[in-house]
Amino acid sequence: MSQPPPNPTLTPTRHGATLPEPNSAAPSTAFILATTKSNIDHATDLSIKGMISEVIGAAPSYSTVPSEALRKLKDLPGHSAIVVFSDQLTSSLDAPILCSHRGQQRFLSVVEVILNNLHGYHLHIENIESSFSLPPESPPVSVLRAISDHLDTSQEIESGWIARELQVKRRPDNRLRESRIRQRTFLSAALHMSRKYPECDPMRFDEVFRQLKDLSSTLKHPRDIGNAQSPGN
Amino acid sequence: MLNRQATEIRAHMSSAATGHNTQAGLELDEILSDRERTAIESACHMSGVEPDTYHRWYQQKNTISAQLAHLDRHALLQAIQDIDRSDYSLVDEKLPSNGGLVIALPHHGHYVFCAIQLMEHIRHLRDVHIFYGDPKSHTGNEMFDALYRRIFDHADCRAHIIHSNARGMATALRALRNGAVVLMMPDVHRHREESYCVPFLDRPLDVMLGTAAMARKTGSRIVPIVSRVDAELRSTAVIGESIEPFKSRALRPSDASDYWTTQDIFHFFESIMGPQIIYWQYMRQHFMRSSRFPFMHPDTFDETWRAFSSDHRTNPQPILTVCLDQ
Repeated sequence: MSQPPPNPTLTPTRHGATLPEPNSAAPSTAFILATTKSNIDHATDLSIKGMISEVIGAAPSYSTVPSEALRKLKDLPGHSAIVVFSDQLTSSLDAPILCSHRGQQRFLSVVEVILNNLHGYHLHIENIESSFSLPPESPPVSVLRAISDHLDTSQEIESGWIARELQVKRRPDNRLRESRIRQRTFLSAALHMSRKYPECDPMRFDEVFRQLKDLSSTLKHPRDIGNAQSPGN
Repeated sequence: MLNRQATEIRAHMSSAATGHNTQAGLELDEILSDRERTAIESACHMSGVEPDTYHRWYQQKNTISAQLAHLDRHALLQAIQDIDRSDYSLVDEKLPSNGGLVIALPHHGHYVFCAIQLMEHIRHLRDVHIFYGDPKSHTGNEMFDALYRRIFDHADCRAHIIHSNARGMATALRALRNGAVVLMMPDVHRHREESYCVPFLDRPLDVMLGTAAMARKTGSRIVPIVSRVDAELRSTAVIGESIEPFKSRALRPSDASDYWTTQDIFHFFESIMGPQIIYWQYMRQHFMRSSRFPFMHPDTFDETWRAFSSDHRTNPQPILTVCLDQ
């Protein structure tokens, strides 16, 4: 007998996106939602009631980071419902895959691909005026394309999209800038240390300093980060 | 009429220092985020004052700016002297007989009035320049250009503006080599990825090394000066000891020399500004930072370097781009 489809009941929320009421008989499903106040409140409420096993995101007050959520997956029941606020997953740890879509390059998260391909989760993506489902083991590029479309349509939520300002972190030029800031911070700390502890090996410090300078001069343009195209399937 | 306005400013100073200004506090509160309010509370706690002191300071600066806008040169300088009561003749002993001098002045207290009075005093002794961001790229700095035109823009005046751009850098270096004084404000940066960080009041502060570099390249000393605010919200300039810039060596990159010199500048700033940090223009942003300066120790340096250099966030290597277009 075939498995029943997910999301038999849809609950409208304030910004037009809907959060389905999970069906205990449905297969494991990850619901991809935009970060709005109503979606946060609804997901939190369903989590408290035990109808959602996990909320994945970057806000510690109501969500779990992807790495921790994936680690806990083995403890979840055979069929479970998870909410993923994909639009919050913008850091270099959570969004490591550089994608090109409609002339724009940005880093996308990988947890949705892992849930769908390795753990057999259906993906149910709620966009502002439509929804989209992907069965388990869908081609990874299809999952990434769906996430990319979801982020683009979330722009239309206007002032209600709480994660709007985070999206800049997906840009290659922003990643490059953050890399340079990290290098400068480390160099500053090393310079501070070398003065406080003048007995430390100056040759060792000079070698590290030279390597940091080399790092800084190697990457000068965002295109240096992504310079090869991989055609989608 | 102009004397009456100067009198009004004096009267305002007295009431601002003592009055409880609920209205200013309410207006300011409306535009602050929760994080900013928390930052202000932290700074007030460090300064040993109530948040109301910050509100009064905030309102005073706005009111004085508006009132000074209509004064002529003479009345303007008089009003400034009412607020900034420093004896700038104390700077004279810091002026070298040979060579230039860099004055490092943070955005603290009545720093604008401090800069004006420094320039007004020094211009009678030698050329003096103030170096700051070009108003074309630094919104708000056009106010300083306007102030300069009102006070110093006349024939044979030896006080000048240098805007921070490539041409300005060359002008400043040449001026220092010719024995001039250059005022610089090192507690700002434009691009964080070009700055270094120094420990400042338990948090990392992003700074540029330009002040130190300029002094090193021209053989000039640096004198740090801070505009310290008193209980009446007037100010006095605190003049620090001259700082000899660290020199570059064969095995010491210039960044290291300039960083250490900059550390010395900010060590002096911290000693004066720390007890009254609410009067620093960048107090809110600084106290909103939750991270601490990443102090290192030689015993763990190698391990830290290994972890740092192998982190992909440090060195984002060229990677494949997945094309999602169908």
